[in-house]
Amino acid sequence: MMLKNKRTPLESWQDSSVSPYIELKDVSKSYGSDLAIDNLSLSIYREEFFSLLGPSGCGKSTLLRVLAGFEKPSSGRVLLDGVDITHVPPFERPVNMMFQSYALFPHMTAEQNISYGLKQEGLPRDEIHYRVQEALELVQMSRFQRRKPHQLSGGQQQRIALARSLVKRPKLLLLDEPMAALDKKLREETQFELVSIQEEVGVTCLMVTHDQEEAMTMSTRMAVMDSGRIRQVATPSEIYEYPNSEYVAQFVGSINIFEGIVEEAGANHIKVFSEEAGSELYIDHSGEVPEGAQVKVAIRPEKVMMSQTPPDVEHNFTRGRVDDIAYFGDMSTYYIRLPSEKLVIATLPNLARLTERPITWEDEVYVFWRAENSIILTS
Amino acid sequence: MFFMVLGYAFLYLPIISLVVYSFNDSYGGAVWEGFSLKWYGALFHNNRLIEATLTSLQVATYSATLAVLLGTLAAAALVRIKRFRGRTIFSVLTAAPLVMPEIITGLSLLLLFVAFQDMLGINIHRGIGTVVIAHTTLCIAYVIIIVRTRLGDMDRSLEEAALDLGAKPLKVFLTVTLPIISPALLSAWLLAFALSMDDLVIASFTTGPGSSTLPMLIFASIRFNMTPEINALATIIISFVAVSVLLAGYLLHRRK
Repeated sequence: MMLKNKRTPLESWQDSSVSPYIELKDVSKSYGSDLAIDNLSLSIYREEFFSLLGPSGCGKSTLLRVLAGFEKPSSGRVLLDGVDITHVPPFERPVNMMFQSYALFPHMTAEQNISYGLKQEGLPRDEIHYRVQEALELVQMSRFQRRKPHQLSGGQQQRIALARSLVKRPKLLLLDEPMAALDKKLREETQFELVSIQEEVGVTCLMVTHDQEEAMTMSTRMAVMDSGRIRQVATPSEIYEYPNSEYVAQFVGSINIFEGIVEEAGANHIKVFSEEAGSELYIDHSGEVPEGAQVKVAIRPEKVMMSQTPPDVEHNFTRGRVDDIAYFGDMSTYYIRLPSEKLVIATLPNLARLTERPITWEDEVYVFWRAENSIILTS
Repeated sequence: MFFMVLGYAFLYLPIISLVVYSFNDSYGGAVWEGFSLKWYGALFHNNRLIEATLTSLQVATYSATLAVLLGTLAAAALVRIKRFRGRTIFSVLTAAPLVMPEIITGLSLLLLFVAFQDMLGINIHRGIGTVVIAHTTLCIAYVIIIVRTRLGDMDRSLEEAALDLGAKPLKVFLTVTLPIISPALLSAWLLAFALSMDDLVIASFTTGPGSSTLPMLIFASIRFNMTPEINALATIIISFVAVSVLLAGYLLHRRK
């Protein structure tokens, strides 16, 4: 599910003539001896939908609060559109935030909630009215403008919160787990809608989420965070297909990892012997790994194939016994136990109706994959 | 069930008997001589009683208002500022009047007023003003507890959202915080009002001649002769206090 597929030849983050819109320079934030953000630098470009992904406590929310101005960084600088906003208080920043709890004012109607920010700017009444109506239309909530938050459903509250944070036309929109309070079905619809609204108004977005699917679906680029540091910044597909570390590979999707030793490091291939896999693994691209080095070979479950007859391949296959099968309707996940006790996960689409399983529990199977689909990880 | 009835009887029988006897036709004793409203009538011709009632209402209004103002500030400091010098001591000291015997509070305040008078060489008139100060110190503790709880329950992100939308901190307090905690402020005010109306000991120490509060007058008059007028007045006060306490509780627990 990729929403951002209208790709121009050169993206802003690849184009060295484009300067970043938001820049974090060596930002650290500590609480006493706890380091919530550890010397972090990051550039985000105009009209990007950027996601910060990571487990709870990784510092992603603190980073968001630094950008909103609720937290002052202990060191480092924050630049927005070329202006240093490190010490600008939240009420003077051209930045708005949509809160996880929505934070709608309970004593005000939807319309009053949305107009609150414009009133602080001291705009003329006509313009406030016009812009509030415009924002209500954008989120298709015009009918509900006289309602108080407690008279609205969760999804409707979310729309009002979005309208309230967009109505001031911020340079940067911060989204703190915007879908966390919605049920799964509504969440998926809203993800599409939020992205199309973002494209319509052309606002630069920074979203914090712990939901990797959400980050993958919505972002132009994303950063995977861990203990106050960024582990990798890339497009969703790059993160998924070319994770730079075991941490990123494990955090985004599931992955099979075999430990092994480099036997041969050629100009355009690497051979790894893995005792865990019980075979020789062949990767058809080179990496900066010397012979004899301890490495990990990673392969995504959906790229693992399975057969009961020996596959016609030289490398990248091994044998095991089906330990367990998880049926998801559209696909099934097979857990195959190798002689080394290592479990290999293989996800296969259920192309035919599963009345009789071609492969079932306790079957002896071969698992194999194509050389171009595996990755070498050194960290 | 039996013990519950016994418990309620233990708590409320004296009050019920007082209310019943306020409608008694007879003058002194415990003998029921028929239903009458004459003591309620007599009440309104008793100037000393009316004067004392007005004094008490004034004292209660002023001290409840002052206590809510100061108590809210203290509660806001305790909830919103996580660390400041002497926070723990401040927190404990604000709660001290809850457990302090009233007689100590009253006596110490009296001594303080006298000491000020000597030190500054000015004449501090003991009357409504001094009782208001005394009652405010008592009521603040209750106000802080109520407001602190409400502020603590309040979603902090509401204030952050207002800041984020461009409102300066004072504006945030006035347009977001205050409206949201207003039920708690009102119920705190009512509780403080009831506490002040009810107090005998502290008022006795801190007031001066000519400014007797209602509880003081009642206490003084039953030492000489117990008239059913007092029963009638007590019934009115009980209804009043009961209504304000119930209202306070309702406001505090009402769902938004």
